Amino acid sequence: MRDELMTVVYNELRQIANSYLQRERPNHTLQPTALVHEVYLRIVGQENVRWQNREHFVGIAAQMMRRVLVDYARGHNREKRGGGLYKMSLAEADRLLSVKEVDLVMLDEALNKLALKHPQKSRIVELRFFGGLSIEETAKVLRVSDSTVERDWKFARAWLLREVSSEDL
Amino acid sequence: MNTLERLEEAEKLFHAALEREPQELDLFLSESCGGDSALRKEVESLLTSYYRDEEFLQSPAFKLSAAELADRALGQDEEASAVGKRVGTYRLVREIGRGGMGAVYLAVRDDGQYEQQVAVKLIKRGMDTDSILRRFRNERQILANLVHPNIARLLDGGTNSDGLPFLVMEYVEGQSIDAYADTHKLSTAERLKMFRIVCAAVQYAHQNRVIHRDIKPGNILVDREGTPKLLDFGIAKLLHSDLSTPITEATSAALRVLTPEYASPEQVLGEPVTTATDIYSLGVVLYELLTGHRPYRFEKRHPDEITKVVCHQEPEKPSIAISRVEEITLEGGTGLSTITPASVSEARESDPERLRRRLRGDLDNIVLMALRKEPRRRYASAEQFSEDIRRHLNGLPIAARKDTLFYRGVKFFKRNKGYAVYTLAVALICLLLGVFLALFTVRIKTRESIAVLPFVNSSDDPNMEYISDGFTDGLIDSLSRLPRLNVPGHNSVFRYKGRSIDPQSAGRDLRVETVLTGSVMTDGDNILVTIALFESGNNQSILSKQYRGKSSDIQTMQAEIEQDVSHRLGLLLGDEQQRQLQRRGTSNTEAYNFYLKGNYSWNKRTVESLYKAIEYFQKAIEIDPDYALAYSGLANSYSLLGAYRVLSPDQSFAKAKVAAKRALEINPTLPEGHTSLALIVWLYDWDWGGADSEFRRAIELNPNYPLAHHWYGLFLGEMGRFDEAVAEEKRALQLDPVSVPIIADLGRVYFFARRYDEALEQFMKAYGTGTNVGDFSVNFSDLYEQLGKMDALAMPDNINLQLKQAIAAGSIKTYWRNRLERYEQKPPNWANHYPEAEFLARLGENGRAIEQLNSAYEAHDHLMTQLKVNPAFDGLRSDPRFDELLRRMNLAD
Repeated sequence: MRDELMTVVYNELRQIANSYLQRERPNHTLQPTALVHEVYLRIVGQENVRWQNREHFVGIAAQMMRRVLVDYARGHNREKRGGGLYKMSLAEADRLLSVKEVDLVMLDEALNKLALKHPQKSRIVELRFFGGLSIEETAKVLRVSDSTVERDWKFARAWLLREVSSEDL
Repeated sequence: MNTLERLEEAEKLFHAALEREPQELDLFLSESCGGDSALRKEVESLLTSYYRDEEFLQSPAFKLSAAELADRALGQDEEASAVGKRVGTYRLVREIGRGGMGAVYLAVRDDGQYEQQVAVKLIKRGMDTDSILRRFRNERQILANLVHPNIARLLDGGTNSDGLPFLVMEYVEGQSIDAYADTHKLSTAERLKMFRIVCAAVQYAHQNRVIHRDIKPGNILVDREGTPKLLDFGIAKLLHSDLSTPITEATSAALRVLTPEYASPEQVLGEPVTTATDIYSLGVVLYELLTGHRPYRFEKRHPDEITKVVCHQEPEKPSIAISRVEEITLEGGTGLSTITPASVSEARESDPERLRRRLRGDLDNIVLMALRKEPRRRYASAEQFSEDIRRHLNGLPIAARKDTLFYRGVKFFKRNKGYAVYTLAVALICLLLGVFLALFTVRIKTRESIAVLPFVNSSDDPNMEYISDGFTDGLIDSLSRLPRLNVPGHNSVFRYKGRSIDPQSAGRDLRVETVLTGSVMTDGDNILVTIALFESGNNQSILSKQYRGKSSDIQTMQAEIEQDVSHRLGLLLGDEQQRQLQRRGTSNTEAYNFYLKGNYSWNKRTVESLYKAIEYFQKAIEIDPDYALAYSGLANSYSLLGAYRVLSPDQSFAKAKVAAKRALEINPTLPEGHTSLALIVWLYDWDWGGADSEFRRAIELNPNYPLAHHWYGLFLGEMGRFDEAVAEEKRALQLDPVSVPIIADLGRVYFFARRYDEALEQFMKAYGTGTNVGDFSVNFSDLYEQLGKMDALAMPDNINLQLKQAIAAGSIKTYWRNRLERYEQKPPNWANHYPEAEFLARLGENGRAIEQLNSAYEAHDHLMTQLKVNPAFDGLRSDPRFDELLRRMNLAD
């Protein structure tokens, strides 16, 4: 059920993203904020899908936000073949996201690695960073205590930063 | 300790270490790790990372969180899906919609009787259940009797096992009417026809005393067969208590489901809803169907703004609305899209200019009549609305008229009464609306500079180059006239001609934000122009389009390109600028067409075509008496008939002067008008200083207007300012490279400057184009008269065979004598004196020549303006009587 749902919504999302890039637009840069609006509208319009509950929705939304953003960053890397690692420019980030100087593709890979050992910590990062949830909201989605989220969040950030920087060197 | 244990231990120590003060860390780690250096290294590296950037990942990637997303998607209140449950005799299959009132489900009959699919609207808990049920009992019969092929029927209703009311309606599978029309690229006429079907359904309901109250595209579905069906007829009333009392919970609840775009002023104000409310909403639907835009745009969706806009702001005419460029997130998630004149017209199988013409007038009036603020002043019924559309489709006069100024005045006073009373109600409503509408964005982006790269001649024929260059120059010229748009001139872009350069590099070189490229293909009389507009920053095309036409349509095609490009650039003109542009041109298509025809005829410069041009320009003026350019065209037509000496100065220049002055009265900054006047001041008023400053003013106003340079050059030539004259003609030629009159007149300037070889070269070039325009065989003859024997055989026979033969035979004097005699035998005429003077001067009869010149002076022959430079009079120049004449004409040095 859950995977099926992911596929449906995710495909919708990809389609939107593609049509964004193909359409004549004054600005060809994908605009994640607008994109998220679209995600929302698409989800509302979903006919085949029932959300188990709000937490279910929130969890999936965060996951989709991560995938769309990372795919976008990856696409960008491909375009800039040979241009090294993708870093969103400051101006771009200011305009579109609150992210600054985060290598999304590397972060995504590190997050997958983290998930092998610590699946819950990886989920916490997904919810907090990509989903923009507070500690309390994250705890609610994962059905754990606030303090667990807080502890795991600290550890995950340290672990990820180490992972990302060691590859950087 | 194995690896896994070590990792767990490291994590534990990491957290414990975070509790310690930094100075205690070393001791803490030594104690807890003991001799396990690998463990210690692991913990230390984690701590280093942790302290290196405590902000790492702390700010979320998106500005909108997944939680907000969920709340917006699901509504604040959690509601379990009723899918699978039974309601009455129906089983709910899936949810097909959700709104403020509850959810709508696709359902099937569960009693195995038939396979009927229905839509079940299940009202959510918390609604005023009792009154809904009461109203439903009162209304169900009326609604059940509403049987019409274009209305989705209300089939049943009741309460489910939880005591919640539900309504069972006919299930319609289809697209909303606007989406359907766009997907199927319905033309304006097809849209109107489909809309009339909707009107008929509304009329039927109104006759059965049912008002819809919530007509919007989303409530008009079109099925696969193309049949529109109205959903939810009368449902709004069932679900909300009487809407006639303004400040009630029910009103705000009712309006929560409306978007302000479709709400009528009376609904926003909480006034009684009547059939006129449906007429208004139908008007909004038609507006959107025809233009792709909604009549109103809200920036902040603040309650005050919504009242102000819906109740007081006049909607833009549909024909004008289509030129908006809007970026809008569409309802229902069909996408964030940029609505441009091109996209709107493409969805209607048209182009922006054609669509504008299609909507202008009738359709503007019809739509605006339905959208009037006062219910009484709209169409009295859906039938009348539909009838007016039918009349329009059949080319009959329509009933809708423009709003009068008087009415607008009355309205202003009315609306300022009792304004405050409504504000609270509206404020409540709009706060609720705001939650749903915060997501909608409208942005308009403008770009301020554009370079037009030389259009490529893609024809096999290199001679067609002048057309592609003409497009380039025409667009540079017209785009440079647009306010706030910086356009590099001809010289800056023509250095790219024939070179392949990518728009990005060109844009960078020229420091412009956008670059327009194009190619022109000709095939006989047919022209195909392809353009592409690029953003220099990323080399991305933001507009590409093709235009087809005949060679006589070049101006129209150019105007279309200009329009499309400026719209795409999102140029918004201020009021004053718009007025300026309007004063230049006309908003009337018919007048514009006459103007184009007039201009075309004028450009041919034959006596017949000039008379025709006068006719066309006059027609344009008849239709639009404030059409400044048409007056300028009229002036030039009369002036040329005077210049060609077809009409006497008083019959030509005098009339031209009136027209030119009128043009400048309408628009004092019209370069064309100043050019027209300059010619008259020169050839008729003989006011050299005045002419000079008029020409300069024209050029200052539009440095790229070829005619101003062309005529100014000739004027300067006659004044003996040859270098300036040649420069002006060359500038004119740059702007208008294949203009035969300019080529010939550059020759004339050389002739005046006694640069005969160069003059001959120009005349031959003009002759080589095969077009004999205006007076130009005279130029040729004049030159050969002057050249005498020189190269007479090179002169084409059809210019002046007699002259050629005379020169060849060495009998030029006899020829001059014969010509003179022929003039002398003619009946006396103002136009005879000057040519007679020329022959007399050539024959050395100075006394008689001066006599004739004095007569030409008295007759006010405009050729007298050439007195100072005409080589024919060189034999007279030492004569004091000639000097006296020059002094009288203010031409003496």
